[in-house]
Amino acid sequence: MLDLKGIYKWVNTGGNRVYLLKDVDLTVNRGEFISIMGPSGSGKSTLLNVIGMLDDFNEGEYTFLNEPVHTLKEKQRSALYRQYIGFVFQAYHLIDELTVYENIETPLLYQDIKGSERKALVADMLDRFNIVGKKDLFPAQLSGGQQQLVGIARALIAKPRLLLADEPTGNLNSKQGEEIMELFGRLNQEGMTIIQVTHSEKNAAYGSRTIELLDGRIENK
Amino acid sequence: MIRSFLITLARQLWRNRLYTFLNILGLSVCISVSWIIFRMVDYEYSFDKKIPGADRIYQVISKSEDSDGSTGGFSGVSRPVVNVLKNEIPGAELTVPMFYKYHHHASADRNEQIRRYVNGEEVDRQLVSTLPDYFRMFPHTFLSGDIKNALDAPDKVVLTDKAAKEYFPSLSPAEIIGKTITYDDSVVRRVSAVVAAYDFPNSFSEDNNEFIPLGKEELADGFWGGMSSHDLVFIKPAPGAEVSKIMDQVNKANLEHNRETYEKYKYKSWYEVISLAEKHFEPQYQAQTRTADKKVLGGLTITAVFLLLLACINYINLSTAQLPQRAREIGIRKTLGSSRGGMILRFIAETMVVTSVSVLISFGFTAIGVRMFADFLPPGLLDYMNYAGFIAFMLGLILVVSVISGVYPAWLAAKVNTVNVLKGVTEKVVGRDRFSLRKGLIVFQFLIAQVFIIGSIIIHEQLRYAMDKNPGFNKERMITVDVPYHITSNPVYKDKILVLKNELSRQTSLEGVAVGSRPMDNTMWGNVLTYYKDTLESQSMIHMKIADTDYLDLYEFKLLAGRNFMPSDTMNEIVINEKAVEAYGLGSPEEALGKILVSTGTKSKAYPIVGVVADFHQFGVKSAISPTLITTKRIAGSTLNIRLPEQVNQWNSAIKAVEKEWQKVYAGVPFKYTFYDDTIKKFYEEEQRTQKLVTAATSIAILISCLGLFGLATLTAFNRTKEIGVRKVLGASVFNITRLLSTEFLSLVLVSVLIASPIAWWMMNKWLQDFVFRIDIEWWMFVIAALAAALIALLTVSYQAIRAAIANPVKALRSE
Repeated sequence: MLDLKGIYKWVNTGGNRVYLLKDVDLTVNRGEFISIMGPSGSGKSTLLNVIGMLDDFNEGEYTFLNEPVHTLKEKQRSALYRQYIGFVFQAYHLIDELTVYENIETPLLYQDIKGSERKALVADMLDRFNIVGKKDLFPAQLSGGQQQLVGIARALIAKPRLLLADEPTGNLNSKQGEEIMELFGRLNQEGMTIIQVTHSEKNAAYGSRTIELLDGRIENK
Repeated sequence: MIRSFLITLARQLWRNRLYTFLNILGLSVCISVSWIIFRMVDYEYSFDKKIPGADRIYQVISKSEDSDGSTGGFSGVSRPVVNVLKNEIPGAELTVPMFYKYHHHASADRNEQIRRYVNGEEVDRQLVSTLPDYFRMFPHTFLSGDIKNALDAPDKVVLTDKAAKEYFPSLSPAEIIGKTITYDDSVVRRVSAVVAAYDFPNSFSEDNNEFIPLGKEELADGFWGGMSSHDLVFIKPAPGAEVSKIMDQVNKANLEHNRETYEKYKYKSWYEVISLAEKHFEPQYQAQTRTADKKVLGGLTITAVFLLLLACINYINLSTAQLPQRAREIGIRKTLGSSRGGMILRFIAETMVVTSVSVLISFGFTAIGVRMFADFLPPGLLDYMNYAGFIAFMLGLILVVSVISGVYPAWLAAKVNTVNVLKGVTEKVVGRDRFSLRKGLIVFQFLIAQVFIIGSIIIHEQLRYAMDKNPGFNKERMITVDVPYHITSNPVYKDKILVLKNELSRQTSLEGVAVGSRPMDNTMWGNVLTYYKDTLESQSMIHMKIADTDYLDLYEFKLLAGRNFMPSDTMNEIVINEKAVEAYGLGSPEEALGKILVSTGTKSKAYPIVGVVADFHQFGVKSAISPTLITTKRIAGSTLNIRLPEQVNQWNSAIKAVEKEWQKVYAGVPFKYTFYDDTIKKFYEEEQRTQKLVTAATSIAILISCLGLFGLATLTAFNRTKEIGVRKVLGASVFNITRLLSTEFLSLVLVSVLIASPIAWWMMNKWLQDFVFRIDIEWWMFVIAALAAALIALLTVSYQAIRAAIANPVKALRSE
């Protein structure tokens, strides 16, 4: 599905070059559920952002669904991730001013999908996550677990092929966290490719493969 | 403490230099404007206040009422009033007549003619004949001579030092005593005293610079039947005497002498007084001195208050916009023990420092503004300096502005939730409800700007209409040349205008020449004529234009019936306009031909109507078209009307040719011509000033509103960083985000447009009432104004919107 070869990312601070990613090679196949682990500052989130095309890298090649990402223009790149990638964040990042329904609908607005179709898709999603009753509430009126549920629903609404999750359970209590991870497991079984960043061995265990990151370098393969 | 406060404040302001700059710019521009306006108002209200005992000095004025109930006021009085006040009735401690006399020129011992010029135009020298009491009512310092002997002989003259400098530039006041001045080469006077002219604003030092004694025969004048604006009287009642009682006596005397006339002509006239404090605001009762208009001063004051309010709103907007960024500092200060009161004081002190800096900078803007608007400022303003007033105004301004604009941000700052701040939840520090207040303020700012924008569009359109409207005759390529009065009245030049006209008629470079009064200018000459038909009579006031026989052709008046008048040495045949046909009830233009208008009452003159022309404007679009007749006599006035050739590049040589002929006839007399368009412009001088002022106010209002909007856009972009980041990750394009942010602000502008339009419509409708001929206020004017505001707003917010839209979402979404 995607292929990273010799990816380097660095920042220059006062004459020193600090490497965030160092010579990262990674191949992800369709249907995999990968957990990225490592201590704080090891580059987990950076790697996830690079995969999600939110962040640039300085050297290396990145092929996503046979498209060479490193040669694409900004516009083509955003068209690519808009269509194939969904994001889930630790802090949910729901839009406070929008209701649950509107939050889930937002990605579709940016893909020029017709109103009636949007309605159907959002209704499906609300149904699937059992949050029909909460569709008119605002994020502030929900518990953390429910907010993250909405966040996942929003990530899935545009039917992505790849789900990227940055510590999806980081702000949740253990019971809520477990529910979310079980949901991820089910999604994976349905065929969704998932890459998650996590601190917890327990969460990593839901995945099919774990990648250890230290100082921007992949320790195990 | 203060030192550390100032240092942190300086750093704070420097760190947020963009806001600081916007704040100080807005404040200092508005402070400059209000400072200039304050100076004007203060100056105008200071007139005559420094004359000792000013509160007890009154000018006697006359009022009249016609049989139809219309009333009028007049500055002149009948001369016997002086004698009545002085000798016949008690109560007046001082009675001072000011009877003005005029001479064309004068010469001092040097034998060189000294003339007087006002705005480049030659005017007569003005002398005031008065009594020695003048210098008791209006005390002056005598630089030489004394009050006892100053005006005790008919050939004496007292000069102010201003006039003395003109006549005897190199002599001291003492040396001038006894020197002679010869007026119009015939009247010789000896200087008896030199007094210091007043160095404070007053109503007299323009007019009264050469004083001559009032003649015995003038004091003894018994003619109650008329009054002249050249004869003014001032009184100072004795202590305890009531001015109204004195005037009752004067009116009794007046009625005794005039009762018969009043009854016969069914009108009456009586005397009243205006106090010296009012004099500067009473244009009706002025002599030559400029007066001020309280309404204009009031309007300016309101403008100043509004602009200051805009600046305060701006400050509130911009400083609350910074609060989220400052929340951490505020929270930490609070945990370190700062009380709420201390916090509030700190913020108000900050505002005060910023305001003070703005005041300093406003001096620069004021200097520029004074230059830009020199023609608005009353003459003498720049020499007038009221230091106490200035300091009080500036301190008051700093205090008021600081409190108005500092209190709200300070209160907000005091309310900052420390716990949230320290937890790092900055977004929740300044809640969302405050947003609507800020939006309200922006709407208010744009509302004011919008009213100004609509106003300037409508004023512009009306003035264009006024200038372009067809006046009913062809004014294109016309110039007019006036022969000065002292030339036409000089026997040496008698009839020379005919010579000049004949010479000019032969010039092939000119398209036409006629002698006659301009069809439209701000002079007026008329008479009441009557049309008798059997037993009926219809009477009307009719304007009269005297012209030669080339006049109608030259101006291309549209002849509806009849013919041009025949050459005639005295006024006889007349051509009238449609309005006159209507006013006398003559029916159609054809029916009017051959009818005769007769001078009312005396029936001494009869004017047969030989032609009717289409209506034309006599006084511009502010006045209705009046009944008018055009007739001829041998010397048809003192104005040459000349049409220039069609090719613009030949105008210069054509005008040169006219001047050459002029110099042949009037050797040495300055040649001055006026384009007809400039004559028309004169009608609208006041409106053009209004236009300039409104344009300036519009620019400032727009500038200030944009500063506020920019601040709000910055804040919004900041507060919505996270949301924008999320939207971008979800696939929003830069265009999507920019549109999202801009639409929000455009809707604010739209709201202000909706509120402002009816207000502007109402105000401008009122303004247009001054014009008899006026444009209709049309929807597109509001649309253009709205588009302009929208465009300006869009440009203002787009910078912030685009910046927010292209920001990297990864930065926005970092959770920790």
